[in-house]
Amino acid sequence: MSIDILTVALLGMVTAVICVILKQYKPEFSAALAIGFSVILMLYLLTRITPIVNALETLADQSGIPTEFFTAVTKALGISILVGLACDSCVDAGQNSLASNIELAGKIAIVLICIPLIGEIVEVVKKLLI
Amino acid sequence: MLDINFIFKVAAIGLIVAVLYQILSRSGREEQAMLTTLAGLIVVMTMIIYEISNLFRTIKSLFGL
Repeated sequence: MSIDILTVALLGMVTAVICVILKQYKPEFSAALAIGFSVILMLYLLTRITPIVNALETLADQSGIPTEFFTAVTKALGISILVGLACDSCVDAGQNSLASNIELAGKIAIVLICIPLIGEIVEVVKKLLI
Repeated sequence: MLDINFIFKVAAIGLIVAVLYQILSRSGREEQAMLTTLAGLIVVMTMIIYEISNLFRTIKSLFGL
């Protein structure tokens, strides 16, 4: 299972050229095409990420790390991918303030996921000190 | 699989609508030109929203969000 990198690169360049042509006549279609390409590419990449996540999961299982630590990492990874996609789409559409708001939402979501883990660290420190 | 057809569908709809808009507005039918653009945009948006929901479902199930 490998990424069809030649197709991805070529398709990206072709899409960029079509976007430039469309922008002269219909700028709204140019934005839609760019978002569509990002979504399709991301769907394709997610099928390639699945085995990586599964392999890391088995590794974490074998090393005896509690599962909630690893699920926090995967959730943060998912949020980062999603927020990155949404953010870049907004920047491309010329909405910088929307983009930074989405970014802030993503950061807050990740911190919310991490709060239980921070409590865990404090517990460990307490045990070490006392 | 990488859905190349989807990209080309969106690009083709965009190009066809751009050409139709030019033709219709040159021949003085501004109303129809505007409606053509609107129809094309709605078709493209429907296709993209379907794919976005697909993407969100995949991310949800993969990362356990």
